[in-house]
Amino acid sequence: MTPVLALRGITKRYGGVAALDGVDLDVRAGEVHALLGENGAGKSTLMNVAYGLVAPDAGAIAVDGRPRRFANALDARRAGIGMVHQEFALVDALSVAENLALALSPPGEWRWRRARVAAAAARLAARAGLELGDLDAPVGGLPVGLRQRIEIVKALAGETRVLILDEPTAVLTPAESAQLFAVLDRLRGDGAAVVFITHKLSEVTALADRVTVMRRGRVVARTTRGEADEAELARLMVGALLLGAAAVPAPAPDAGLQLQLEAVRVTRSQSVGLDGVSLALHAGEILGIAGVDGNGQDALFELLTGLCPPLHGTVWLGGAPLRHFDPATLIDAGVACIPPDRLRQGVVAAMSVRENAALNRRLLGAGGWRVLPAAQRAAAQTMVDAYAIKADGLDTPVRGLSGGNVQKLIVARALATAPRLLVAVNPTRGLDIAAAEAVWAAVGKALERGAGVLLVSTDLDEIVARAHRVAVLYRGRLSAPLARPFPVERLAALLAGREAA
Amino acid sequence: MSADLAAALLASTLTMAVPLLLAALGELIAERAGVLNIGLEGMLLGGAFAALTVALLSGSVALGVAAALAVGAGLGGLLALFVAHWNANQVVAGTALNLLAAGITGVAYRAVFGVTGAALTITGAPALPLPGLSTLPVLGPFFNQTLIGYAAFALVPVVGGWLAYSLGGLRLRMVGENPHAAETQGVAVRRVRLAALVCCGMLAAAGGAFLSIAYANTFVEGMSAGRGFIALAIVIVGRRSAPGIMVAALCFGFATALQFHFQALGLAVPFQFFLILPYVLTLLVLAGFAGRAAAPAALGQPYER
Amino acid sequence: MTASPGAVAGAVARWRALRMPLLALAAALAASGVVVVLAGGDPLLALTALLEGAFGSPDAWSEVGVRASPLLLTGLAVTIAFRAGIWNIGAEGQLLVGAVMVAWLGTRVGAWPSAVALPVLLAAAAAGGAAWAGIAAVLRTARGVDEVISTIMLNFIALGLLGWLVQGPLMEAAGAYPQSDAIAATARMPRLVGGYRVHAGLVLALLAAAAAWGLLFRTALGFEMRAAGLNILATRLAGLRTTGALLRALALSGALAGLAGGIEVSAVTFRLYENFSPGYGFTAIAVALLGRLHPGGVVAAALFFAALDVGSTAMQRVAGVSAVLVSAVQAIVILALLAFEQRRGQTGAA
Repeated sequence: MTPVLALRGITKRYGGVAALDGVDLDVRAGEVHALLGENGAGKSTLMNVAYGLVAPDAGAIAVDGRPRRFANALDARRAGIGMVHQEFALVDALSVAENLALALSPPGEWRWRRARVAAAAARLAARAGLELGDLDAPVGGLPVGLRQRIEIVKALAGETRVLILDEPTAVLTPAESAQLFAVLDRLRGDGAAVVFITHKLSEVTALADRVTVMRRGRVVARTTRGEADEAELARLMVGALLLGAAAVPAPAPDAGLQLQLEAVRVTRSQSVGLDGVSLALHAGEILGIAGVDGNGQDALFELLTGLCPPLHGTVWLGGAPLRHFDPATLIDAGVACIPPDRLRQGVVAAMSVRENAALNRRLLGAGGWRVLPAAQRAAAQTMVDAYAIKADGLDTPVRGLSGGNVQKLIVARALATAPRLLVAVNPTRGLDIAAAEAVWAAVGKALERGAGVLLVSTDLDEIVARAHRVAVLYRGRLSAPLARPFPVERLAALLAGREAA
Repeated sequence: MSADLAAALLASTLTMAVPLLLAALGELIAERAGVLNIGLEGMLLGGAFAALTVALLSGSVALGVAAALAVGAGLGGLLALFVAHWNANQVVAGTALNLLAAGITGVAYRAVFGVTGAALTITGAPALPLPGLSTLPVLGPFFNQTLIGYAAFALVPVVGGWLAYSLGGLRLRMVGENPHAAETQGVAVRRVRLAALVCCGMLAAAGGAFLSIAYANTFVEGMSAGRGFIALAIVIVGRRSAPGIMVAALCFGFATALQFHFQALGLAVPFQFFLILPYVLTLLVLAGFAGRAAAPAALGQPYER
Repeated sequence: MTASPGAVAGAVARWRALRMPLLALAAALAASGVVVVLAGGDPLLALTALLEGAFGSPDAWSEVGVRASPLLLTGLAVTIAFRAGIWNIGAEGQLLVGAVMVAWLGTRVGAWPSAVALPVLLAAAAAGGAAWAGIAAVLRTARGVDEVISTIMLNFIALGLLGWLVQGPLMEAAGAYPQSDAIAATARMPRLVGGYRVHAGLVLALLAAAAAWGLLFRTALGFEMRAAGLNILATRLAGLRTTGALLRALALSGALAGLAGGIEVSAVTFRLYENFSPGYGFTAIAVALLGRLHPGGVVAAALFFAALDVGSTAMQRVAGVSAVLVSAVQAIVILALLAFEQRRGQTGAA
């Protein structure tokens, strides 16, 4: 049977890194196909290629056996492929009907008729077995499950035969997830092909007819329903890990606590906060906070950098309770950070290397109210030399540096403040091996000086290789920390939320 | 207040309001597409000059208006090149547009008419009274306006309706709220913003044309006198809706019109007070309203693919 | 301390930084030439008349100095605000308020020695400008009013206030013309060279430029302002000051503009009347942008526009091209700069 959608040998490189490396995928009509893998495995990139948003460097796409090339999403739509992204492309200020109008209106009309759109929407909704509710309500205030259903209807418009969903249950409650599964089941029965990207094992076993497991840009396994249980899937997904083989220096016994959180609650309006998080970080220790993106990492970062005070709970730094939450206080108390978004949070891209090297309250304030360029220059040069930062001189603007070099500068600056607590969020993202090693060598030195490192990372390999203990963040809750040797299946289970954190 | 005075006040209010209304409607279209057009003032001025010059040289008011529309479209297109295509800073580009219009109209005026600052008048656009209605007490002047005046008020439901009910208007609103979402639905964001700015330019220039060929019947350097910026405030005060803008324009028109009638109204205040009243009013209203009116989410932000 | 390649790279960077304004100027000159031709004039004659009028005699140089002083101060005002990410379009209004302060107080300090009167007057002018700008700052922080619109509105309000004052409370005793009384002799800034109008205000302006440079590039406060203007999130995360930055930047900006107005009255006009400013506060925007928001560049740009201004009257007289062309030149310069910046792939501040 010819697959509805066939991808062959898809390769995509970003910089020197291969996000996709010769990936093959077949999707058949009337099936639910799960694309399983860790963060960074390449699942989203692969589907973006299938949807015409990303042009592959190599490889071919075929729909119903006929080779196709997609220059943009419209081409893919015309070929019958629809996609629901993790970030919905909805306009909050407009109503449901208005959001659907473009997709559901026949071409060549100058005005959109609410009745027509409503009828088309009703048809599609019936096909999928879902409810859209009040079509005139502004999308902005609607619950996430409903917003997703609107996106599904949008994606089904036209003669859609392949529906792709990217991590659809990431933002849904269990009840909404169940509703979604019913919809997907219905679509499958209707003859559509459904591809859904996930990292959650329970969904795979519950719903998928076939599973393709990806890891680091490659397909590592293909199974069909019933062939592999969750434990096997976890093993396939996470792969063979170094269990304690890395040279991780043991923290000194009786080391004091650098950071302690007790029952901390942080609320954020647009995303997951922290729901009663407690942890203890010792001097000279790396505590890894693992978790899929979007489970509270941002809230944790904002808490520890002083951008967002806690609603409840207490935070102790070096044994002293923190009463005042703003970046200046925390930096003065010895906290340094490596932020998740280096260009937007870590540097002022238009300023020079020299000036960015001083972009920190402690480093800038060393000169009092004055700025001493010679001193700044010397300090920046030291950083450049120590970390082999490739820049065309100290006066080039930072935006001219590669991502890896920007990150090295940020790390250098953070460690130059001799912090007692380093909050590192995805510190080696986008770095090549040599740069990553340099970062960890510097972190090692800080550890020797007695600093504590909170490593918040979506890269499980890195955490497992470097951390002394690991805790898993899921929906704002932190599991109890696990010690070495790290149990792979338990980690995978905690990441997927199968085990209560 | 006598009925005559009320009617006279209304007439002045309408005259003051029409250019504001036209410019504000233009800005509405631009802002709903996500572009903050600081260059409204320059477009008004350019339109005023073009209309007067062509009307004087050709003897036809209609040709003058057409010339104004062309100039407005050109200025709108120029601004779109900088802010929609090149993603330049919208404030700086708009300010440059104002300076450009001021400079070129000044030079061109003297070059064409050869006299420095003296008034060259034309007979101007005729009023078109609607039979019967124009003789109503108090409300009469509303039905005794020039064609541009009627057009300005007629455009209110047209623009409002187009924004709300047409697919084109929907696309425009999507571009202003969430250009990335619009792009994924196949909307050409840059082209939509170009079209929006061209429309904005034409409307603002039409407002300027009214100033020179229906109100002052002449051209004076800098005659736009900040109306373009007041129009910006009117858009905010009018909650970015066409009917709201109409009401706001009438209010500001009234405030400006007071300078001609305050003596008759018996207000013993120095006349400069009435000169600055519209600007003070703008500040007060913005201070009172600004927090609550919701701007299009992507307003003022350059769109990077 | 810096390796030789670093010094070379620095020089290259400086040349690159200069290239854009020079290119923009060239484009502006070319475009203006076209405008002149379209207006029926002779561009070459216009250009020579312009140059002759600006640099042809010591009198001309003096006039350039006189015009450059307020342009430099307002240019610095705009520079500081824009660098901090604040769009202060109200330099003109702030200048007018500063002028009002000096015109008002200048008639009352006749009994004081100059050494006391002048600093007091100038301080009052700066304070007036700062307060006027402060209105916009408060409106923004307390009520979220966009400073672009509020500063523009305040320009018009200041204009109206000025008109009222010179026809009312501050009108001259003789009551013949709508102008204020002449300020006392001790309130007038000294001339630099006998017989010429160029005055000590120019020196003050140059000192202000040096101070602005020092502030922006040699103080922690200036560093924070610049960083916050470019990326407020990263600046906050770095623990640097971002709250109150708006007020500080606007107040400083307004103070410089107010000072410009005050000096104009104290050194050039000696009394207040409408239209004493040919729009210095607006030209200041072009000056600041042409100077790439760098005090040194602003000095050069201010001199350039002053020369343009002075030469333009000669250009009008000799070549028949309207002096108002200068506005168009300013605009073309800004647009050319914007265009070149985009071509190079940079995005401007904020």
